[in-house]
Amino acid sequence: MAKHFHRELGNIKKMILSLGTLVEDRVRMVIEAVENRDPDLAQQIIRLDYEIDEMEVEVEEECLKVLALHQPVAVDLRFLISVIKINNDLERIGDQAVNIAQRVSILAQRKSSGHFYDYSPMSEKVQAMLKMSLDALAELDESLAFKVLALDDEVDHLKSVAYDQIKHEIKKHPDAVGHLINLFLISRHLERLADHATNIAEEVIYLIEGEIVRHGKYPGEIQLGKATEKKNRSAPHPENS
Amino acid sequence: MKKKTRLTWILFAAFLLITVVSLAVSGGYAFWAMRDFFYKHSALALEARGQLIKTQIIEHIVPGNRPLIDAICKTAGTASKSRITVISTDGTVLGDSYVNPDKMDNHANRPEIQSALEGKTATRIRFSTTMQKKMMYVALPVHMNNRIRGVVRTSLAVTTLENQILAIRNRILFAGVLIFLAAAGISLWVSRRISMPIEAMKNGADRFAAGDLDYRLPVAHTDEMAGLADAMNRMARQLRKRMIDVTRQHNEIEAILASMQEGLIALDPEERVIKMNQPAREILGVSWEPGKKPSILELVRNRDLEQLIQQVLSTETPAEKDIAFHRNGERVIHVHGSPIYGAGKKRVGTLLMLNDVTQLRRLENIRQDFAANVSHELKTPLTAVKGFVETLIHGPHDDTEGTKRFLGIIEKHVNRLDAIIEDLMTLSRIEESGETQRIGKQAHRIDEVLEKAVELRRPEAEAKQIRIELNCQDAPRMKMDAILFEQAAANILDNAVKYSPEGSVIRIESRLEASGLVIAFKDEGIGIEKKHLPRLFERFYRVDRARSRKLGGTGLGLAIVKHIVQAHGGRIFVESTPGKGSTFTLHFPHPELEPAPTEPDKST
Repeated sequence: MAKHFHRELGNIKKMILSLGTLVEDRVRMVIEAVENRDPDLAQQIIRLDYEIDEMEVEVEEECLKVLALHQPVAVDLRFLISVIKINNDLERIGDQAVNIAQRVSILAQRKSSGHFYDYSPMSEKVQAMLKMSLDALAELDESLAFKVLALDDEVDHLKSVAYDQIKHEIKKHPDAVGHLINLFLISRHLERLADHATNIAEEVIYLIEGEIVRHGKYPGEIQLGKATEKKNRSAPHPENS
Repeated sequence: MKKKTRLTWILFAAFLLITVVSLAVSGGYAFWAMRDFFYKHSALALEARGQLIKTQIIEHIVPGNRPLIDAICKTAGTASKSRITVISTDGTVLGDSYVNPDKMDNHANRPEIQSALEGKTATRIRFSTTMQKKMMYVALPVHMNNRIRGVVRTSLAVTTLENQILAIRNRILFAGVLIFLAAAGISLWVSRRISMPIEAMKNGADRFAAGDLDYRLPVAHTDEMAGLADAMNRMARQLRKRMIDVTRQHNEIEAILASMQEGLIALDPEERVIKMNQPAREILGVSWEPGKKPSILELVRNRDLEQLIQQVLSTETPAEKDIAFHRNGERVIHVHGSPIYGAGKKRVGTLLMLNDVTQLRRLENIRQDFAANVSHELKTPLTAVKGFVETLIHGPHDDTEGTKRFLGIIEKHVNRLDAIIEDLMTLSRIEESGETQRIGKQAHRIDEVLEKAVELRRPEAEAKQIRIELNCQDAPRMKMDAILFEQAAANILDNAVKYSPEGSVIRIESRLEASGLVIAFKDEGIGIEKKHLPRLFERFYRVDRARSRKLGGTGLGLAIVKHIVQAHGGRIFVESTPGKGSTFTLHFPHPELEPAPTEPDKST
């Protein structure tokens, strides 16, 4: 009986990582679309979003099934709850990618516009955050999760930089205000995407520590020693923002 | 688990039991025999004394001379320290060694007296009321003239006897205890001697079990133990040899896996990693410790890989695919997956072979593009020429103006074709000679060569009021093919001029750094987008096809530059910001320089 249960847990982990893979891929595609102002790629992303939605439903159903059948407790219960929440965040990330793709479509309609904002520093950070949060989930590595939380502030900062620069551009070229607003909105979607990746990281920390670290209750307030010593890992140093 | 008793104690207890039982039985029997003998001997001694008394009183018994008999009894009794009593036939005590006979009661009822009066010598042990203790009596009938005249009775206190017997018993007991202790000591020693080799065996077996197969059991003294020790030693030797063999085989396999160029991943039926060799880890950029079995999804998140694995799992047939991994840029990995079957055709997992074909695919793409481009580039002017020729052939022959114009156009296109083919030939020549390092090199001053290139492009530059600044520090002499070098510089300048706005500046800098010779061409032109930069030096690659053709390019300029630079052992880099400008940097790490002479050398 227990063996069956553990196999199902393993299966759920595989499923959530598979969804993570899919979402990571979409995010990579949309960032490429932004960089190349590629409307076809953007359309593909919008069209294929249903795949993410379907998989999200699958994962949730599987989790509910296991919860009902086996009524797990302690770390197994935390695992399932974390998976359900991460599942949700991943689907939202997919939605943000679709939003960005829609912006790219609109921007691409106005051809050869000289207004170009280089989102590559911001998008690289966001991609890195997503990857690290999923790696943290895969390997149950707290230190990675904490790194993600630290990067979120940098992304927020980059968003305000983008705001300032694009605001400046709008003042210089008020005729292109529609285009520039769409360009700015990409940064907002990227920032939301980063927030969801941060959520995933927080849920991983909850899974490992059993402590809820949302809403800025980290870093100094968690006793990391006890749980991580048990797992025989070197204690991570949560970066202070 | 019940604690097992040690062999030593079991043996020891057995020995002790044997010793105790033997000692007890033999001691007891000896004691009993001795006691019996002692009593009989005492009885005989009493009888002997009785006989002596009998001879003394026999003549006095008939007349019944009581005082005399009594006196004899008392004398003899005192001397011999025994109790003597003489009794007449009716039971009257005639004499006693201890008590006044008149005070004694009739002894006729005493059992031994009764037996003696019947004529038998009687021995009896009974309690004496007179003496108030247990006594041994021997009664002798006195015969005279075949008639019993009286009884002589001698007696001895049993306690005396018993005391003497007790003394003997204690001496036996004492000896027994001593023997017991000695025996106990010896049996303890013997049982330990028996069980110690067994213990040594056990310790040896423990060490083997713990993995110390080099240990050898010491030689035992007994035949059986020696045999056992020998067998165990042989077993240890065998085990060690097997382990060495197995380890060697394992190491061989690991070495083979590690020295493969391809990555190899073995998965179990649940998609967990059983084995991953070093190249696979490098290709995927993951780390994996042997002994852990993470799911492949935990290590690598790639949808196409996932789907391939699923395919191999479900269809049980091999499958292969080019999969793009996005890690430090895009790498194309050719993945071949096949099922692994164990003994008995049972599916035991999946095997993945990884091959990094990024470079291969890139070159294939370039080649494909080049072939397409060449055909296109040659076809376009050729079609135009064909068209115009046909028009000329079939059209009116007297329209000299039109004819002239058409012929002009044809000439232009033919020139273009010529230029393209000329460039292609140059390119192939440079490539070939560059590969074999056969370009003829002579020393020339760099600044002079660059100046020549600038001169070549001056007309176009001046037409757009573009200023070209040449800044050569050092101006060393470098071994080079001057013509090719000049052409390379001219090609770069050509692009710079074409794509720069009017009135801008083009800067050429040449300097000698620690890392080598660096020549940079900076313009303030329209710039090149990041996505084009990796492919900029490919043959016929154009950023903006229409504009390039309008400005009269063949699409081969930069390819030629790259090959010329490479033929001189250098590399070319480009940086660009769209809207701001571009910088082309030529870097020669090991330039064949000659020191600049003090006087400028005019010969080139």
